[in-house]
Amino acid sequence: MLSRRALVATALVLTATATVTLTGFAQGKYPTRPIEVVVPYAPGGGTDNLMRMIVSIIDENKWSPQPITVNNRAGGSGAVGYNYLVGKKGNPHVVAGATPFVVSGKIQGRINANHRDGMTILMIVAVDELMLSVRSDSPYRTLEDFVKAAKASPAKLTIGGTGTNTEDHIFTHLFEEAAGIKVKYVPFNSGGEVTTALLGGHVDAAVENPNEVIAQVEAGKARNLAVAAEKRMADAKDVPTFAEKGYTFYWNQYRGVVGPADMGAEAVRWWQETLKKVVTSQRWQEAYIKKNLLTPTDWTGDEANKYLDGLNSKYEKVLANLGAIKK
Amino acid sequence: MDLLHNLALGFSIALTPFNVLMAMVGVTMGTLIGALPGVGPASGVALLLPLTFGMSPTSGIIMLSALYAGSMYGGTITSVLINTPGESASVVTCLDGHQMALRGRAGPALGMAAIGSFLAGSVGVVLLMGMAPLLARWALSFGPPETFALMLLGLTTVTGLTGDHAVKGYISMVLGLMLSMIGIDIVSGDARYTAGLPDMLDGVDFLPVAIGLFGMGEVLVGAEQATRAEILHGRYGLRDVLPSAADWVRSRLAIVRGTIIGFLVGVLPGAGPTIASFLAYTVEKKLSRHPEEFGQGAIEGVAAPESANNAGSAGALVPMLTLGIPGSATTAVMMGGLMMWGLRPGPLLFEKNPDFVWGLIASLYLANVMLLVLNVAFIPVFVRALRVPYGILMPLIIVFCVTGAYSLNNRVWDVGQMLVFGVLGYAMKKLDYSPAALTLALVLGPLAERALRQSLIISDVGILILLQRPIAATLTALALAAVAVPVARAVWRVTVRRPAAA
Repeated sequence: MLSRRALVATALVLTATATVTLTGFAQGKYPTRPIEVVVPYAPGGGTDNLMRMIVSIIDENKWSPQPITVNNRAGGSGAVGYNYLVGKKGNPHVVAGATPFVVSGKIQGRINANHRDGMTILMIVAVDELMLSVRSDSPYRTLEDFVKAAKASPAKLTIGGTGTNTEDHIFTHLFEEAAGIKVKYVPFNSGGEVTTALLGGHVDAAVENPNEVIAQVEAGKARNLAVAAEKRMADAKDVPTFAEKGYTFYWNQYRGVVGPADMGAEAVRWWQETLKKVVTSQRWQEAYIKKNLLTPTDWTGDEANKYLDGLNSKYEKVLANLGAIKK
Repeated sequence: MDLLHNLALGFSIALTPFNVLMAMVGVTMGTLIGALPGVGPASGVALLLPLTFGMSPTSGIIMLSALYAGSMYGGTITSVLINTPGESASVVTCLDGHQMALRGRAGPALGMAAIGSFLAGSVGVVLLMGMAPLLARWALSFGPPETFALMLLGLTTVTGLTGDHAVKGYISMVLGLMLSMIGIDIVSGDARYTAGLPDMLDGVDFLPVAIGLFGMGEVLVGAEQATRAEILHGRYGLRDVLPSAADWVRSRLAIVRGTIIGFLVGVLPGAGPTIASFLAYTVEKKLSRHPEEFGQGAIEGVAAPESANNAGSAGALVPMLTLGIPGSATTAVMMGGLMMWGLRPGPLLFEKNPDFVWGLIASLYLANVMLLVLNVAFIPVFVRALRVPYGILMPLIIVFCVTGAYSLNNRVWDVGQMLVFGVLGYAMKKLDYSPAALTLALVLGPLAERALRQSLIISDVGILILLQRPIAATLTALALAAVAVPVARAVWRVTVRRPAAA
């Protein structure tokens, strides 16, 4: 039994600690308030998995003195979440998972700003490649087979992918240009639906991220014809690149973390340092990069901004070709 | 033999004290999450995911799948008691469940839902265990044409949701289809009917509409009636609230059919428990000998959809476990979890991680037993909530509806949407239009449109692709018959019989 005096003493100590902690926060460094991590997509998608992974690594290492909560603000293929972030200008305690939509959203008039005029790119943490895959019993053994068949009967073969004016759609468009062929692009609602349609034989080929299809390849149900990368992937050396087959185009999807404009130098530095610790952690390398067959990156500042600038001009060109930019 | 061996392995894993505890945490959280309007199973699983990182993957998936099963049970509670669906798969339960509550039979409604859910959930696990690979192959044969034909059939059953006014039912349905056109068109990528608002780009979300039409609409209608509470008074012992023998006789086939429909639809890519519950309800009404009682508190109208959504949630695990492809939003989050735990979901999961898969399957049996006990034991408590005077209950329901709509995507927009549809729900109720037909169309519409347009892109023969493929052709024929037969019968009555009688 605690005596009454002991109770009072404990209470006093607790109060003192709380006061010290509180004043510590008030004068202290970023973060001074709980952090909101926005996922502009529904639970279960690539960005959702990414941000939950990052937050869980930060949590288990206690790298943040303040709690971090993940909020899904889905809507308009990301428009709702990113516009929310853009509206948080000057608030360093809100960040979001970044996708190519950070630049392509503004081009299509869906987001009010991009990384240059309304968001701060904190780090690009990985690059996800895109591949062309077929079923294992498909008559197209190689990329050449597929191109040959597509040339023999133009606009007959079907390629499935996620959405329209999206990375998968642009991939298909760039492949058509590079190979001088015409195919029918069939948009689906999610990567899972694309893979289902591929395995069921409802489309001839599909645009896939490595992690969406690798388990099917291991099980002998699917085959990757080529990857749109500059060199072969470290963990899938047997998959050729489009360029080495003579159909030169490069296209991928980056993943990163983005904040609002005017976050302040201190907050930006905190995120860059913390994310650097995340991407060099063992758990990240094993449970995220290797599992998803991603190419790891740690681009920040100018390097990240220039990458996004380059992406922006590519998108402007391709989306204009696809008729996705309304004059 | 193999199966028994594997199942024994599974139970040896599921019955360890820690895993039993995790299953209990899962079912309890799931019931709560299901009961709270707005927070559905997908966001519930996402919320609890971080808790699982310290555990083994098996314990983690046991907790999450127990939560998924629990949410299917929990959604029923608010549907029955206050006409506000806790999650999307329980929307259709409002139709007869709440009518039963208004007639003082909330207890039997909840009891039948719990027992039907238990039976369907258990049979679903047996099917998952015994036939998963086979069913996965069947699910793959459902391409866009088959999906469209199935949705078409679903839409033609819409008269099953409406009362005497078939025409008003179709008007409600068309309104729902029109609303489902709002948002980014998946084929062209263009925004349709969005008035330039980014919040409209994803279209009209189904759940705020359902919460508005049912929950808010009910409050508005109730506000006109001076007193309502007295009919709800009665005895609330455990024996008084359980279904009677007559209820059983009426519901047994509904449970069987609900289970089969629910499981099969749950297995299909992109469909899931919500659509399963709607289809089970409409099929039950079509086959019923007294269809006029549906919507007036027919207990089969609770038993069928509640069985279907539980069997459907078990079915949705089939593509995840056998193919590594998520069959629903909730399983997509679970798959994210699988990867974070270091597993790679895919066709080889059964071979490579048998302890994981069988531990999960065994724990689903366990979760269903726990849920049955939990839900039946608490029925008297839940039902007493109805004794709260309506003047106090009504504001509470409004609070439920508002927080529920907000918590879907953390945006005020959904609250506004819910309120607008609340007013519409009131008007529809007054004018005898069917809110259920509208919601059905809103659920099926986007799927149907997408599947149709994908079919037309793939097809070299235009719309005839629907007749080229056996499954699609059969379903299309059934759908056409569902519309043509009643029309033909009416024409027959007018042209042949009437002159003869005259």
